[in-house]
Amino acid sequence: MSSMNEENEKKLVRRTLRGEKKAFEMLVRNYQQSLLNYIGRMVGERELALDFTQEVFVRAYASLRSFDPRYKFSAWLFKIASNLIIDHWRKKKIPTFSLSEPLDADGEGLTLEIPDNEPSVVRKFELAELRKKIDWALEQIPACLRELFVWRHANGLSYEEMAEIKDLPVGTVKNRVYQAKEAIRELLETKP
Amino acid sequence: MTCLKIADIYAYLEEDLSPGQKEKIERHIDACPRCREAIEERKFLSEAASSLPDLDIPADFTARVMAKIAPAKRHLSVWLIAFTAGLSSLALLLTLVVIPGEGNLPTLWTSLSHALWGYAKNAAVLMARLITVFSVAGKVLSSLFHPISKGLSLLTSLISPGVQIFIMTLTLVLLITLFYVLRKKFMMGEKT
Repeated sequence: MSSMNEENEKKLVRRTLRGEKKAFEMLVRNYQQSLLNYIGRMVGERELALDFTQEVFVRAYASLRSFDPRYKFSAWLFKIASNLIIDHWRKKKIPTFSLSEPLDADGEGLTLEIPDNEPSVVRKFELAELRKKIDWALEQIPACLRELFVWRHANGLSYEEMAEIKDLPVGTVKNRVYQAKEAIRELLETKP
Repeated sequence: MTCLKIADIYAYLEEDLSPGQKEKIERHIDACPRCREAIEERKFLSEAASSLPDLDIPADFTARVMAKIAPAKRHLSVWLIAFTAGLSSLALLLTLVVIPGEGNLPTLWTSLSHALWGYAKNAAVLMARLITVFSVAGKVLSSLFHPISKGLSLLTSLISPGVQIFIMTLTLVLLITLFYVLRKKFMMGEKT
């Protein structure tokens, strides 16, 4: 996601709080791409994603004093972004899904054995083609699964960080990421 | 060992198993092409997902964000306001009581300082009667205080009222600035 280590991050936060705008600019440069990758895949519209990414930084700057340096700055940014997206969906009356509620009978699918005739749906694609298909499949799966999948794979967040952002047990988060992957696999199976 | 469950595959790929469990699974996949294929399939999917392309970001995006952010808000906490108000009141009281030199302050101030000084003496006498130890301490302090007071009065009689007010204001500003700088230094650590 970014090459900046936590200590540098916190130094930049402190410098920003002392009034150094340049320090905040460095934080923006460091996280703008990963935030856009996440927001863009969540909302699906580039211009809207750019506006939201900008808004995340504006909100972060305005409430920087409330940032607790015990946590990672990146996790805090993703939390702001996640809340912004949920607010947007609520205003637009787009249904949102709670991660704490099971999507099926508890992710039962994950406790199943591999079927005898499981087709190889992924390895038949070239890597570049597969990436495109994953982006397509991401738009089809429930937003709560998509969010965790993107955080994990596109943003490289750890399960612990995701659990902290969503205030959920680590085990639940892992389970949901696995479910997202299986859902994507199944979609690729049906895509011509 | 029976064939792997889907959750086992992800746990294996995430290296989220004990050494014993890992060894058991590796023994199984050596002997079971179906499970081996299922693992390879999901590994390939995870690799592709972890290398999804970045979304395009405009070259001037950082500049746009920086142009939009407002100056950092400097919230004055209730206790800071209370401290400042207390400090100002104390300074005013000291001016009226400790610097009662005749002709160097307006008449109103002089009479007010006399009245306040009277109240302070009465309170000291009352306390002295109630607690003998405090009485002795009060007398000692009082005997120390008079020369200081006289010294200050003499000093202030040499300085015009305007200069006195200027010095007092400057001292207050310096104290408040010093306090605010120190407060900022120790501000980090608020909850997210």
